[in-house]
Amino acid sequence: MRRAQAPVVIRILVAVLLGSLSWAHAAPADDLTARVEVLSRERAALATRRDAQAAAYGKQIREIADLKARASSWARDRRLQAALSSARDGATALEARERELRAKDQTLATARREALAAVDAELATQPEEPRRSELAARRQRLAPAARPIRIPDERIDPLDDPEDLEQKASALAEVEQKLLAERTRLAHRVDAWRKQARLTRAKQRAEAPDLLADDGPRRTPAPRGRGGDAFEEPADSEDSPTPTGPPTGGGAVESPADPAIVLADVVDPSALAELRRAESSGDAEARALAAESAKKSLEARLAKLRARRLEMEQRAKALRAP
Amino acid sequence: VIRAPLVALLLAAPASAEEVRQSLSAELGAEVDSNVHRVLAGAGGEELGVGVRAGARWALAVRPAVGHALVFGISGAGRALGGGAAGEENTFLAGTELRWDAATGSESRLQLALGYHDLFEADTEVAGLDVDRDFRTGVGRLGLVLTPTDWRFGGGIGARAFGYKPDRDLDFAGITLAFDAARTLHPGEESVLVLGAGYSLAHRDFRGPAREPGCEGRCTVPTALGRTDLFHTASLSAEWQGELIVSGRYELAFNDSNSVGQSFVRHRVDLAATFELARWLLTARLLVQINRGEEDPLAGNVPSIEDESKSAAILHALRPLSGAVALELRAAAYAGPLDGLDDYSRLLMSVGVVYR
Repeated sequence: MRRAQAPVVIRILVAVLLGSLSWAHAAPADDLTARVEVLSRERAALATRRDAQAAAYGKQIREIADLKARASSWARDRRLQAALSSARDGATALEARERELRAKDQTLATARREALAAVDAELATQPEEPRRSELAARRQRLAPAARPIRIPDERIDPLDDPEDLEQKASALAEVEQKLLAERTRLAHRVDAWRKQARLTRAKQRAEAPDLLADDGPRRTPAPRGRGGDAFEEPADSEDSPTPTGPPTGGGAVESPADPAIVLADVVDPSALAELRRAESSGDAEARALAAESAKKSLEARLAKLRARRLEMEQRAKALRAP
Repeated sequence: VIRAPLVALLLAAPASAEEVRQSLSAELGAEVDSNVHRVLAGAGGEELGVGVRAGARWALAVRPAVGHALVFGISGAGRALGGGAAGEENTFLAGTELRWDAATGSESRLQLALGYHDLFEADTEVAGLDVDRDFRTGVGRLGLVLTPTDWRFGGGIGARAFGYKPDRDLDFAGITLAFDAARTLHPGEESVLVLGAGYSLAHRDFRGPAREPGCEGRCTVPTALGRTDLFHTASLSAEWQGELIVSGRYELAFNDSNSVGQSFVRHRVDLAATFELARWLLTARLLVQINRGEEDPLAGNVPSIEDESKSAAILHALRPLSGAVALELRAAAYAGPLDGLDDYSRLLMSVGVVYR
């Protein structure tokens, strides 16, 4: 009986060993993915709290403005002082939350990169199904998705002290950098599509029927009646009831860096809608025009943000001045 | 050569800021034609032609309401060849068109188009025969275009009248129908692949009669019926737009005629590549066309040189000189060996300035 059990024990030991080896091999991807999920949940909770604090702060600011609009009295001044104090606390808390959120974003981005690298490393070993499918799905979840670039608070509040203004200016500068990168991407697209539009126009010119050239062979002595269809060229090009160009459809084409998503909060919505519509078409001219329009809208927004940032910096400097 | 663009520049100013716009395009150049009468070698009449050509189109666009556009255009073009019989090929074309485009929704629009063209040619004789090709044609069509995401569907109905000046029996009129669909694919962030398919049908009711074999097989004689043709065309196409544009199109045309010897099948393959090289926009194009006429009881299955038998290799080059002016070169070699026209060849070269 003991002799019969020995191989079973050995098999179990081997299985445990192999299992642990397998677990050890898969662990980085699983662990790092789990960490990303935890961090994502933490970030979402933080963002919810930040949004609630921002809403409360906005309410406080409106209340202060309302009180300031009233006639001065002891009761009003007392309430105003309390509201100002409360708003200062709210602003401090909000800034702290923003800092916390930015730090969390950085941690999450790092964790996401590490998890992605681990998943790629394991995928490179060509694992068996269903592990492979699971990793592929996980990779899709981890890959950086296009997110709208959010414009931070660009208002200059009368209550803002130099530190507040510098922080706001710093946040604006950060977004400016992101928008500049998007502008460069958009500029590349404009260049590429302008070139395609040039090529398309040249092609259309090259292929346009030349009525004067009349490149059919000359009618020569032939049985009567054979000549009736010798002049189809102007006719055929006219028989089509609609232009034969490529489609100019109207729909979304989402790519990981779809400007229509990334710039949703920045660029004029009509320009982005036009860009989406043009991108889904085969019309290079329309694509180039739409991208150019979106780029101009982005540049205008960038210029405004830059001006506001400079204003904040100057005001902070002025407030710091003795 | 320089004058036309300058005149065009002066005339092309917009008539009004937004609602009314006018535009002018023009071209002026010189051409050399190795076979100006387009005849078979040995048939007599092969002649080299050298001349000038000019053309212009003026258009007025009006936006009477949001989503509506009305365009009226007139065009004229002419060619004058120097010396001897080549001058018989001097040609002038005049045309006018009216187009109305109305958005009927965010993804649909209605189009109405009317057009008229008239071609005038000097009297031409080849081997003692009058071979003029003057014609006039008028068309009207109403179409609907739908553009859901990444798709385009077009459909329309129209009518056309064609007048063949040298022989009024070949005048015809009839209705036309056409449908097309195209799908846009996005293989890359900055590249596009457009796949298309289309079908059109043209009914042609001729002024002259249908003919049938007569004279005991030695000639054709008119019947009591008028000649009627149904001209079907189906096509498939693909175009890739990226760093360069590459396109391919296959077209199958079938003319079903009740007149003996007039039916035919035509296969046409059109391949093209357009690219930019040292500021030149170059298009290389290859047209391969095979015509197969109906078995003719009189002459057997002979190639019909009356059709557009033009397999060709074409090189076209545009060099922008300024915003609207470009230098244009074109070289084309035509031949018809696939249609049995081994003796047919033509070289056409032109150089000119284009303003648009």
